[in-house]
Amino acid sequence: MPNKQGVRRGSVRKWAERLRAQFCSPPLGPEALRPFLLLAVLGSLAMTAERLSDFAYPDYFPAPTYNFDANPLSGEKIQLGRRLFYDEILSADGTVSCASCHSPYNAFAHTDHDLSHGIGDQIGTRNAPALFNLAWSTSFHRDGAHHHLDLQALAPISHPAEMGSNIKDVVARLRGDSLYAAGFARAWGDPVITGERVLKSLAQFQLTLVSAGAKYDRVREQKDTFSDQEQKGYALFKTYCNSCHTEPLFTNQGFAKNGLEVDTTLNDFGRIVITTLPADNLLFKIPSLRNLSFTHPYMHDGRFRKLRQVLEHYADRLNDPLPLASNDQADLIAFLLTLDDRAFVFDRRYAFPVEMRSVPER
Amino acid sequence: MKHLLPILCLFFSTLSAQEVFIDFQPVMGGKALVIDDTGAAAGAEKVVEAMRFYLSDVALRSEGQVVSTSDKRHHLLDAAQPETMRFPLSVPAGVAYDELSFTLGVDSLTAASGAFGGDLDPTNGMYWTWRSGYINFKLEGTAPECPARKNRFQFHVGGFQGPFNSERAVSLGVSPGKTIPVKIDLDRFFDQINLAATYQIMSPDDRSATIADLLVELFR
Repeated sequence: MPNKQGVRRGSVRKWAERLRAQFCSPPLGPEALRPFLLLAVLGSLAMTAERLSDFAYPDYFPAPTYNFDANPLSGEKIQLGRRLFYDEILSADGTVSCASCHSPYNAFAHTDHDLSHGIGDQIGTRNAPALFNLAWSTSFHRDGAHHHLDLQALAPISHPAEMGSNIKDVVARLRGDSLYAAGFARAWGDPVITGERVLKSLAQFQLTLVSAGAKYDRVREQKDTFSDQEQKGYALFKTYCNSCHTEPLFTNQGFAKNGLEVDTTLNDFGRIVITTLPADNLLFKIPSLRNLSFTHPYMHDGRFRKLRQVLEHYADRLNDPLPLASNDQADLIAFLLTLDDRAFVFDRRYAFPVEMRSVPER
Repeated sequence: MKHLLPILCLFFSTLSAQEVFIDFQPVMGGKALVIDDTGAAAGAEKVVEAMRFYLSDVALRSEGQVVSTSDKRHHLLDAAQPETMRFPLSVPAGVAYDELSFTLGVDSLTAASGAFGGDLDPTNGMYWTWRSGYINFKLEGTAPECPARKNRFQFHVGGFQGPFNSERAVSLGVSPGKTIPVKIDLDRFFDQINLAATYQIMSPDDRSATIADLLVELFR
């Protein structure tokens, strides 16, 4: 069954084939009408393609947890959200955008930065998480501080070491920018800019960031096969990793204590900071294992530069070490690399909106 | 006659519904609270600089049954803006009521459901940013005994997740009238809270849960 908001990949393909057939067949009308017919077909093709590709996911994904009824996707809202995502206007001094620490080419993480930097070159305390498959996420941040994608954005906007602003000032700055009045009018029916609309637009763009085009996915769809080493790694994965990093999203959306020593320069105790419950001491959100090639360094504080170091930690930790010999680790990494989704990382729909380059100086 | 009946019904129902104003009146030092956000007191005396809170599902009841609800499900009340401290409920004529009920705070189901506009818009400064949750009750000011910087006390009572959910049901016995005054007794708050020891509550935990319990007792 297609989801309310989107369609599964199979249906997208059928639609595309039908449209292609329509587009390629010769126009039937008189010669004079041909350019108009062509335009009409092209127009409908473009519109349909945009609508259909807003939010699609494979059959073997579970149903999303995001409530789309409360924030129905639209192409204009997604584009507005995309623009906001890439605009430094969100930060107090106009230097930092969401994409500063969530770069599309890093699967929306911040490669090569253990901790990210915000306005005034301040350094935070956590590794910026990658952003994808957020429609299935039931909590956000390494400690699960936020439970809803809509409101999550308040945190980076307000954090003094990130964007150092607040949503009220963001709304005021956007109201002072005539380009946004037009964008909000297109997306929301009138040019009124509110906190709710800013947050929901941002959420819409982020919801469209679906990563489901890795080799793993092609194997699931029986369009590719694992190598022997990848297959061995997959078997190890299912034995030792899958209970937390559950396929096909490669996270069970929960929190876990992974045995890392507390970095005393940060003193980050994870989820207990939010819940104050002793049982939550040193629990951190279980991240997805998709796109690891693009999202290094790893762990909540970015302490490991290499995937190998992560596996060595799990093999060597005092509590519940995983019996992974060196060759097992190599096999496991071979499998993990099949979760890289290059199509997602280089998808132009998620990239910097080209039209923003022509924005005049503010 | 067949066509007239609905029109007549409409006419009489409009005529016969009456507006009852719920009027929230914060009291401190035995007098109506005056918000002083000038910073002039500078800790020399106890002043309240900000008092804002949410109410959900305001209703009038008769023997426990709801007879009237507010048009708006959520109200943000701000003691610095008197017009927000008073709002009407429409009660059909001849319908008696003996109880005013509401949830102090944003109900937890709404709080768990994403971004909203109007009184619930995060631009109102009543949504936490470092974590999920509305600030259900905000009280800020200065007092000489408060050891914080600039003698400031800040109570941000909020959060909707167990075990420290801060929404509280409030029920008050009332008599019918054009205006139903509801006193908010801040003297009781400051009697119970020792500002020398407790002056900064900004997270949902057992301390804020205790204060949420106390807040219920302020409404009279």
